[in-house]
Parts: sequence; structure tokens; C-alpha cells
Amino acid sequence: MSLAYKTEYPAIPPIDEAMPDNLETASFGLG
Amino acid sequence: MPAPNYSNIGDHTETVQVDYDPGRITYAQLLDIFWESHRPTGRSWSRQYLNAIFYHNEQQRRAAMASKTAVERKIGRTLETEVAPLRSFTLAEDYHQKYVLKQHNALKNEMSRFYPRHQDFVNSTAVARLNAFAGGYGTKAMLSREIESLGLSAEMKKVLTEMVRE
Repeated sequence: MSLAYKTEYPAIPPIDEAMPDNLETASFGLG
Repeated sequence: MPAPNYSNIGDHTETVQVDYDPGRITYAQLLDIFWESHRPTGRSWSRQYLNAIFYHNEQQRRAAMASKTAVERKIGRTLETEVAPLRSFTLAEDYHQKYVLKQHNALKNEMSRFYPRHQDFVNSTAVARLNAFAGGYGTKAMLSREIESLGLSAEMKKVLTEMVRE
């Protein structure tokens, strides 16, 4: 996932602004 | 197959990939939700529709195996869900992304104004949350706790609130 948008746009929703950079990833197949 | 798509998926599996903040939710908690979100005792229909945990590292593999064993002990049955390494991941075509939200043009357009590039639209947590609420996942109480963080206009806040169940 790219969080590049955090610095590329002048205004973004607060929930996106607050997203930390150290996200982890999980993957699931749900049938 | 290096570049699968919906009409030629090869041996790939339709997969939900979650980017999460480990400070707010743990992998173990995601596993708990996963077991509740599919039928782990049923055999998968096909490789395309496989029940599986695709682990990203050794820590996830151990957690997945431990979680699977714990559920098997709890229910007294063997689970069919596979635990396998993630070998590659291909994002589905654009029209599959945030599909439910895209059925609601006014809501979608508010987010597209923030994120004119589709890739950024797809990666936005605000967009993901809106897609879930639009799909019927979530309650008015949940929405009220986060609605101010989603970047919506007053009009779209009203529209979304009316869409979400009690």
C-alpha cells in the first residue's frame, strides 16, 4: 500500500492524515 | 501466471488483502474475524475460491497455525482452510475496487475530489470505510464515532447516515 497521497494532496480526510506509516499486511482467501 | 485477471485467473485465488495498523488491531484479532467470516470446515470450490490464510512471514505463519489449531480444538473438527505462503499478489481490475461505493455516485465523487488518481482512491482508508458503510457493514453508532474523520460535506454526511442501519 502506498501512502504517497499523504504528502501529494493539499487536503485529505483526517482518517487518512492520521494513518501511520508502519502498516502491516494480511491476506485471506474467503472462499 | 504473472498477470492474472478476472477472465483469466489461472491458478490464483481471489484474496482480500488488509493493510492494518498493528497499534490498533493485532494479526491474532484479524484471524479471529477471518474464522467468523467463512466456512472453514467446508472444502473450497476451486483454486479461485479457496479458503486460505496467505501468510507474509514466519510470525504470521506461526500465528495462523496456532489459531487454526485452537479453533479445531474448540469445535472438535478438522478445518479445511489452507495456511500457505503468499507468493504474489495482483490487485484486481479497477472496476472491482471499492465496488459498492462506486454505486453511489455522489459519495464516490466527494472522495474522487480528494483523490483524482484511482490508485490513491483505492489506498485511502476513508474510501475503504465509506465502501464498508455503503455495503451495509457498520451501524449508526459506529458511523457517529468516525463520521467527522471521513472528510465528507454536510450533505454527504446526511446521505450516509440515512443509508446506515441502526
